[in-house]
Amino acid sequence: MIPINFVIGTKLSTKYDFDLFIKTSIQSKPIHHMFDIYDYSNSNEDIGYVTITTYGGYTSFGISKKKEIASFFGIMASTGLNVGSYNIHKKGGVKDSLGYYVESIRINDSFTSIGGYFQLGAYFDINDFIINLSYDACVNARTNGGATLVHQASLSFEF
Amino acid sequence: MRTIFISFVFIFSSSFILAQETQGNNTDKKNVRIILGLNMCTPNTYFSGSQEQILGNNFHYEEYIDSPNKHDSNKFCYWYKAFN
Repeated sequence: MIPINFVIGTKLSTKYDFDLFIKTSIQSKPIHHMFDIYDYSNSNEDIGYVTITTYGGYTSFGISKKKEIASFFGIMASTGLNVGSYNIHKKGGVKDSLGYYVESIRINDSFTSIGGYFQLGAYFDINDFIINLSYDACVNARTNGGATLVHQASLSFEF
Repeated sequence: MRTIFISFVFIFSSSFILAQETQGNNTDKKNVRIILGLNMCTPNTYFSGSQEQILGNNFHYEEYIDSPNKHDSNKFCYWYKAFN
């Protein structure tokens, strides 16, 4: 099942050739990831697993630029910064000496992520009601360590 | 991925036709706009880092290993996505 985020924000036109905006994206449901744990110091042995469930959202600050191809259609590009806040629940286990999984990992945690994104797409202007279709790639670093790469399709309306 | 692609093609085509049919001569563009939308994340969310980076600094690997020969503080494990 594809996770869907809700987006709400505002956009400000400038006298220059670009727009400024701020928008917030909130997950509609938790995202689950299951990882295997490999011990690379010991023959790449599979020693356990963990399931990570994440819930939260992020706010983007960015600039966007449009290139009009026709009066009702054009392409757009955008770039900016993301700041996110998430709750995370980790559950899993490692194998004991007999090879059975021991359910021993249960951690609730939260973290902040900071990163950047790049967005490329097309827009349609229907009597000043604008439909944007784009694809985003985000790279985020987490304050508790680690990094994520997310890419996503985006549909938004401006009015 | 296929669902996203088909949805995109459908929305793109219908928006293009709608915009072409209804575009007026409205040149009085707004300076401030409201944005509402949806993001459809692809299932590929990649994590990188050591086990402590991904699980958090309050997680200590050794506490959860029963086998004596795995009590090695120098272990450095990577975790990666198995499925979503």
